[in-house]
Amino acid sequence: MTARTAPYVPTSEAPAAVAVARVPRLRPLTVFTIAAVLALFAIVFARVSLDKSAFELQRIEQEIAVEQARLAELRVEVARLRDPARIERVATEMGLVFPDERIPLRVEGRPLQGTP
Amino acid sequence: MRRPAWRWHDLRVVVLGLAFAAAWAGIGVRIYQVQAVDAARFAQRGFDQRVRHEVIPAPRGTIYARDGVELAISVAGADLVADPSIVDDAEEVASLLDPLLELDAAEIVERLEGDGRYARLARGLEPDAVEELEALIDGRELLGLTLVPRAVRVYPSGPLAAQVVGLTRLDTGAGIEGLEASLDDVLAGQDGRRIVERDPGGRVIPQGRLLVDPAVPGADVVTTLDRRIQYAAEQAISAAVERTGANWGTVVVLDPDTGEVLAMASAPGFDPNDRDALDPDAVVNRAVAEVYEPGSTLKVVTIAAALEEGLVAPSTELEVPQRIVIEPKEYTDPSDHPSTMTVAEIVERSSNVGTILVQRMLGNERHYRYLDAFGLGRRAAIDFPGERSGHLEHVSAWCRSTCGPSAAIGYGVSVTPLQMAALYATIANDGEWVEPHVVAEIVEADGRRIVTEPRRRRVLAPETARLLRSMLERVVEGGTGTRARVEGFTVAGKTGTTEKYLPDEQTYSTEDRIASFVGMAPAGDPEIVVAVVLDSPKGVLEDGTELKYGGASAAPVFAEVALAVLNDLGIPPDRPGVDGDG
Repeated sequence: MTARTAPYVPTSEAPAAVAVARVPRLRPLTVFTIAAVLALFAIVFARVSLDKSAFELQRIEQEIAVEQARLAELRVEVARLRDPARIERVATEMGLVFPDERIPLRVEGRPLQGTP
Repeated sequence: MRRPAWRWHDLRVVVLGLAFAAAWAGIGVRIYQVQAVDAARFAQRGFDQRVRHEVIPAPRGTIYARDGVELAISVAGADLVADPSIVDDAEEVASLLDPLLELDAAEIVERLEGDGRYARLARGLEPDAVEELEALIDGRELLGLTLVPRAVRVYPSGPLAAQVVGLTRLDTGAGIEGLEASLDDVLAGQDGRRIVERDPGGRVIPQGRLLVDPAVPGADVVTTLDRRIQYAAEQAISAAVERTGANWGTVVVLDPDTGEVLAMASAPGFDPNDRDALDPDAVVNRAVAEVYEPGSTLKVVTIAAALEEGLVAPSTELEVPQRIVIEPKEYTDPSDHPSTMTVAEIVERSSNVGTILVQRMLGNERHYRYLDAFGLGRRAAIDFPGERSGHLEHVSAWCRSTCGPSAAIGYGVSVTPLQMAALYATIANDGEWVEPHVVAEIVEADGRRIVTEPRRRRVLAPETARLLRSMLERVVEGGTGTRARVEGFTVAGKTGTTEKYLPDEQTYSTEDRIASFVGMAPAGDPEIVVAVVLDSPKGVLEDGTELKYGGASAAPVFAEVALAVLNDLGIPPDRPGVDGDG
């Protein structure tokens, strides 16, 4: 009977079983799950942003409508203030009167132009 | 070995299990029914509850004066309505609303105590009033009162140019008179539509808009009216109607170069903001809706035609008798005059007989041709609602004897005041007729501008028009129109007084007259034409002149309006001898 022995391998050449670091391997299912969760968050975020924008848009539209209504009111007020009947009434109250006599003056040597 | 005996608690467990199973089965069946069998139906019901089909009302366009001031504008107002079945204390509510509404407290109580569930307390409230009412309703927690939002048409200057601008219906907002009616399609715009999802509170669900087809706002209308001139004209004609007791009066002010209507006033007038006091007769725009026989103011066409045809000159002398008989009529001159007169004197003295003699030289055919060229018998303007065309019979239908002579002195032909203004504007504009118009431009919502381009046509040679003006100037200087004089300015014009035709009786009134004056200033190069017409003025002036004559009642109105217009436009005086000493 002969004894079989393992071939001699110098210690320095032996494989370093302990030193090899293991790269973590992600399984496809995990990747898919993470992606799905991220996508879900993205969708929710987008949806919330859109909702916020929609609310903002609504608010701005209401503001525009209010301001437009205000503008129309102010235009009415200005037109009323510029009403000739009102101006005449106010002028009369202030004691203004139409001139009794019109005296157009002509400056010699100059052509007639402009308001007399 | 013995089987264990049934125990009560085992039975209860079984029963409970069966009950749970049945309950879950029921829920499952219901879920299946809702989610599978009737899913489409329930989805549709939910959709129908959320989704609203809404009309987006188009804002109505604004009507402006030529200086850009609003004559008619829409604002966000409201109607105040009540549900009488909910109102707690009608008398208390009425006392609170009384100071804010036009209705008095008793009427408010009557409406609040009425049957039914709807009572309108106010229509077309303006924003200020709406704000006050909102504060009152919220502050006092008044039940049963609601403000229903709606656009309200406001006329900021009230009666100013009311007959031209017109009116809209209070309920639908559609135009029913004036420019509001004639340009309703333009002003109204196009309503939009919107399909949106709303929550039970009526709020729009964000991103719930399914469709928005925006409204197209109505176009704005810029008129040619000058507010200050319009005001002066309205004041003058209202005072004249009051002074003379006339049925109505009207004034038209035209820019002869452009055909722009600077003012168009009728009295009595109305305030479109006050519908309760509205008099239907006052709404009529007399300047375009009334037809009358122009009388002596039409003599100018006969003379113009004879001058243009080279038949006479202003200095041509004619033997003019005091009366002339053309069977079956006799035509007379109202005042004595020399037996020989020049054509210029015929115009100055407004001689009927002299004008008829000129017309006989002219002949019916040529006379008609000029009447037609001056635009009589057809509508004068581009854009006036309710404008009448007047009446000018075609010459082929004229009788052989009196039709021509009658037309020469302004009978048998009917015109509107605007037509007469346009006729004299032709003379003022060196013989070129320009279509009168009141709309300067229409500004679409997208900013596109549609500018009015009036038609033009030459009727007389410039020299003929100048000769006519000098003859018409004599009418004001020393003829029948002396009361039309304007200090500092030369004026050319013609008076007119016609017996009023009574259509119902088919005869002429023995008492009532249509008095008119149409003129221009400055006579040398006219900047304005003013036509004044009064229906049945009465009374006597201090010097004994009856106000039924155009020279007595209408000419002073011309003078008043012309002075205001010339001052407003900054036209320098042209009358000799006014410098320095006044």
